[in-house]
Amino acid sequence: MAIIVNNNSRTIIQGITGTTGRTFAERMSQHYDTFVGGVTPGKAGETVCGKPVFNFVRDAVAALGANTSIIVVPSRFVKDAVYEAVDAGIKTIWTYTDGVSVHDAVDMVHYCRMNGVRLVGPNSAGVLSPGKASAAEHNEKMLPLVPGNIGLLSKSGSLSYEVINMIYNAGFGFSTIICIGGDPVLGTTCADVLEMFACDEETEAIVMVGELGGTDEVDCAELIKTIKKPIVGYISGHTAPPQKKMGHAGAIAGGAGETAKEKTEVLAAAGVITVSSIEEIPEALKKLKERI
Amino acid sequence: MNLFEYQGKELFSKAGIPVPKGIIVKNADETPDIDGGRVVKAQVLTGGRGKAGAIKKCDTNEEIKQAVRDILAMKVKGHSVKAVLIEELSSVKEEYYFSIAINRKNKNFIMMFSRQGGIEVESLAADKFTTVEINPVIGLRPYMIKELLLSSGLDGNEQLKEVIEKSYELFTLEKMQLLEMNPVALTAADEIMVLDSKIVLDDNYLSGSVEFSENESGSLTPVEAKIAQYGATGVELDGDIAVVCAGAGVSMATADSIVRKGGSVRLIFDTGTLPSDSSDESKRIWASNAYAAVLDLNPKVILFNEFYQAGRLDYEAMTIKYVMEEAAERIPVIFRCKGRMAEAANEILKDTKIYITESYEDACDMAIKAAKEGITWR
Repeated sequence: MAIIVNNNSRTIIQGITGTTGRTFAERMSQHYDTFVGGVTPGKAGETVCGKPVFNFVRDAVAALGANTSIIVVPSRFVKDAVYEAVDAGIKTIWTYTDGVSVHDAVDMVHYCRMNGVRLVGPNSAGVLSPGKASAAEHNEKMLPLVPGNIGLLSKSGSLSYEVINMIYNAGFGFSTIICIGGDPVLGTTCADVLEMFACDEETEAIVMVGELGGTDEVDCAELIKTIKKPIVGYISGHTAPPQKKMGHAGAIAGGAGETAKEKTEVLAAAGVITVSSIEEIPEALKKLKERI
Repeated sequence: MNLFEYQGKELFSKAGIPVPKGIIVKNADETPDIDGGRVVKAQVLTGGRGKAGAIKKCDTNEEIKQAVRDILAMKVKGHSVKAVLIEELSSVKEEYYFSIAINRKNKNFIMMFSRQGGIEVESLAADKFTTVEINPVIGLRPYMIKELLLSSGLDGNEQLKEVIEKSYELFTLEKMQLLEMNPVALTAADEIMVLDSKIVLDDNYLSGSVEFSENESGSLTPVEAKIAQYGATGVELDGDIAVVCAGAGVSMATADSIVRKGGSVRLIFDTGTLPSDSSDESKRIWASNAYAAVLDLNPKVILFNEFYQAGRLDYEAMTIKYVMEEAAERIPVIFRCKGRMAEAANEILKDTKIYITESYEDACDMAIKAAKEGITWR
């Protein structure tokens, strides 16, 4: 069934008439029947790539049965866009926009939780289930987004491209690919994703690509011990000096146990097949396949 | 963005939180005549000022002027002192610790209090702190303050409670990442007075209520600072290969691969929002200055690892050619070029000495080889 987005998704874009919105709409309309329309206040009645535009999310939900929203509005409007989507009955939200303040992220996460809404991001590359639905920036023409039985969890979007390519070249495809983002406060955590992959029938093995900083990955240690599916894990930032912020706002080894090495050790002790660089991931998967 | 003590205290004062009266002096000759009873404090974005002798208590006008001269000439843990704060000296009975921060895991705010403040927080045992989480949906409630102060026996101190309430208001108003008061003092006159401030603002939300001068988000080397000016991130290391990538995750991963394969890294450069692949030539020329900063480091090898699925590699290649064509005659420059418009990018760079490859592993391997042997191609 894949996780978070699937054949039952009815996806809209909040901010569809902007530059980013149009780019996403063009790509998604070519590849997914599950992409159905968009929202920009004041632009109701227009169309983008043949898909209808509405003033409010509520209208898109009523007219199209939308249940999944992609938010690409500027950072200062993101919190309001999330609240509007939640209040309109949207159940899955992907926030692409970066530069959202941590306080806004905290508010968004709590409001989504209270209403049983799955929030991915902010500042994430999104989630897609190949061939079914996409709420992600991944480009179907540039990346081998083929269906298969690997569940890929990555914090970083840019790194996911590289890993997708390597895993595909090793002969595998994907149930769902999800990039949760590198901000300090995230709607969907590593633990959330692992729990979903653990229950997903299409996912046979999990690849987890984390990074230094915070405790999101190591917080999964107890959960991982209960998961029967094999997990290959890599934490980026082995070469990063301590107390330096590495590109992502959340990627700083600030507290104890937050370096790539320490996090890798915790995951290994919990039963994850850990590697120290990405080119080892396909090798690990091939070995697993032989074993199974 | 880290605030200096005096900037934090200005925010406190405006919010009605009591702080000692003080003035800022940036030039020793501008020190006004003041009677004694003052403390002169270096304004630097690092801890341990007391131990470094950068905080001096002064009894007379002469002592104050001497302290200002001495401290302005000092370096505290490598930070030069550009301003001092001259404050009225408070007569202190007790010193407490108080802070509000963000709990990344629970997505809540978290308050910490200790009856033993005034010393470096790291040196305090965890059991000396009381912590209380605040769910932002309901905000700070009276029971939380009671919980925070009860074990210290200070839950009856109305003025302290008020300081905590006003601090929370300020923390949320300015969307702070950290608000720390170490110490909050109880004076001889039984009044609460905040004697030091440490505030970290969110770079994604700067309200304009603080005027920034020499502030920074962390301590950067000159090249890191130059790269930061262009909206990109550079982190210097002491190895051979400068790694330039579009994305935080992939730049760290590329550095990790190089090290695992036996190489070493000089710089990890995440281009972030750098318009090096813009369709606008003037933006590309502007962005090329950030790439030029890589040359300032004299790396043994420069590796651009670009796998583009949205941006255009032909524009990126133009920027790389503009900055690196000449340097590539002397320094090995490698361009891993895969994705959108890769063929056109190859065409643009074909007459240069830049090594182009589509493969991630080949790019890493060649960079390590070139660090040892120099340019081995063409």
